[in-house]
Order: sequence, then C-alpha cells, then structure tokens
Amino acid sequence: MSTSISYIDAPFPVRLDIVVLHEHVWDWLARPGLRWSGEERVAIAAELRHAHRCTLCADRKAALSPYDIDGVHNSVSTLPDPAIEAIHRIATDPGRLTESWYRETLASGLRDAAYVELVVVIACVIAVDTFVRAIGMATLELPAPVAGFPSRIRPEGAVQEGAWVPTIPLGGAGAAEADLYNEGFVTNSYRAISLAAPQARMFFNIVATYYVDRNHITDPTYSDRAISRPQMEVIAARVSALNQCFF
Amino acid sequence: MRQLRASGQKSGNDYDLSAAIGATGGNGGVPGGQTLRNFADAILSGDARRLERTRNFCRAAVGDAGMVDAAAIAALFDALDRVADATGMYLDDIALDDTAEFRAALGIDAFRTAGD
Repeated sequence: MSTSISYIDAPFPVRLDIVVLHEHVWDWLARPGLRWSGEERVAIAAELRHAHRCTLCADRKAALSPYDIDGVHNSVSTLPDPAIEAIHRIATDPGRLTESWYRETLASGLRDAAYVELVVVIACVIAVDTFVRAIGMATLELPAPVAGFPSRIRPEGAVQEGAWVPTIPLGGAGAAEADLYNEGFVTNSYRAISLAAPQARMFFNIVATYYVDRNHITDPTYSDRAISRPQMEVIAARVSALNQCFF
Repeated sequence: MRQLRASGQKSGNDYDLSAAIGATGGNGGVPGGQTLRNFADAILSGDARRLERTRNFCRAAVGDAGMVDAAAIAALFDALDRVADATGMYLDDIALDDTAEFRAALGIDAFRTAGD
C-alpha cells in the first residue's frame, strides 16, 4: 500500500473501514488497469475533477440541447479526445447521455472495454471525492502513478444484452468472474460494468463498505450501520432524483 | 426508491416515497428523513457553507456515526448514478412492471434517463 490517507483532523470519527477503503481505491487508481496505464487512470481522475470548471461543459449544461453545442473542452491531460469528451460529459451532465452519443464515442476511437473501465474509474473517484466533500475535509491529492502496462484482459462471455455496453449475462460468467456472479444474484449495476470485471471489483468493494454487502442488498430492512435501511434509502432516492437518474 | 418501498412493505411501515425524492416536505415516515434529504441536497449543491450547516443538523439528528454513514450513501449513489447513466443500464421487465405505479405517481418517468 503506497497511499496513506487520514481523516484524523475531522471533528468526528470516520469509520476505519472507510479510511482503509480509500487507501485501497487510491492505490488501485494509480496502478495499470485493463486498458489504461496508471498514468492515464490518474489523468482520468484529474480530468474528472477539472470538468466542473470547463466552459464548454458549462455551456452544454445550460443548453436545452447539449448535443447542438460544439467546442473544445478545457482539459488538463493528454488523454485522447474521445476519453476527455466522455469524462467531461459523465462528470457534468450524466442525465443527458444518450446511446447515440455512446456509439459516436466508440466511433471516435474509444474501445468499449476502455470506455467501461473509464466509467469504473470515474465512479470510484466520485465515490471518494463526494464522501470527502460531504464530511467537510479537503480534497485528497491524487496518487502518484505506478509504472506498468494494462493487462488487456477482456472477460469471457460479454455480450450485447440491452445496455449500451456489452455485459456478462446471468449464467455467462467465466471462471475469472464467477465470484462476481455467485448465488445467481447480480444487481444490474454489477452487470453494467462487468466488461471491466477485474476492475469493477473495486466499485463493488465501495458498495459493500458504504452501503451493505451484496448478501444483504435484497433484504430491504437490513442495516449494520448507524442509520437504518429506510434512512439510507431516503438519501439514495434523493441523490438519484437530484441526478435525474431513473434508477 | 424500490428498496425504500420494499423496506416499508416488509416492516409494515407506510413510507411516503414522494417525500424521499423531495416532491413533498416532511420526514415521509422515516425518522430524520427531511434532515437526511437536506444533507443530500447540500452535498450535491457545491455550496460549502450550506453543506456545513446541514452537516451539523445531520449530526444532531442521527449522530456523528450516522452522519458519516449518510455521507457514504450519498457518495455511493452519486457514483452509481454515473454508472447507470453512462452504461445505458436498464431495468428488466419485472422491475419495470413492479415499479410502474409509483414511477408514474412520483414523476420518475420524466427523469432525463428514463427515455434512454
């Protein structure tokens, strides 16, 4: 573990498992993934944070038809243009992403597996950054990238099922992903990022640490936290409503 | 939303789903519901002073550990919404049928991602 994170300065205790999780996320972020190097993954995180200061994104956010507005993103990285476009859109206006936009992003040169890994990286960084902001602590410094090459692993069995991105269907997981599809129950969110299954495990760790572990997700009254499950679900429902997210 | 409704059904509580998404005021039958909802609003608002104020209200309502847990839930769903929106994740037919009534009643079908 190369990253040390502390919330000791917070005026209230922060659960140790959350501190450890954040250390793991930062360590994971810095390392090569499936399609992106460690340097590129940290650049994705930097670009994600910067997107909220992008004037093109602000103009699009304010527009009735965001896809009618062309321009160049204010970027802080050397990532490929389709990746910068994807990061900025997902960061600043996720509720208006469309399948045709996704298809154009692929046509611009971003492979589906690279896109899904990018989504996983974005989700994990948002999970850390939003929490840190919520408890009033300073934004964490991004980790130093770890050298190395992406594994280029693509899970067996991923097919086009109905989501925009290919996913591993129920009963279709290969040996390497079998643990993610155990006991026949897989949430749609798990399946949605299954094309990046080895990387998606980190997001599932976040779900288990922040919310409830997968064995209890379907029990709508279960909570081993300081707030009840209905209290959790009020927050979840409100956040999704604010994000205009149907799910 | 489905989980909140299911939680109420299993525990015998009648939670007001419209309060949970902010369509109406009050706790919606969930202890501290309005304070938690206000905390979620402040987290996503980008307004640091508002966030500090609502964080303190949240600490008073559910305790320090409860506030930290609430922050974690808000952060998770802020991330999870991105996963759903960016992958074109879909609800299966069973879930769509199961939620049709309250989605229509609460205006959730009008959310931007509903038509994708």
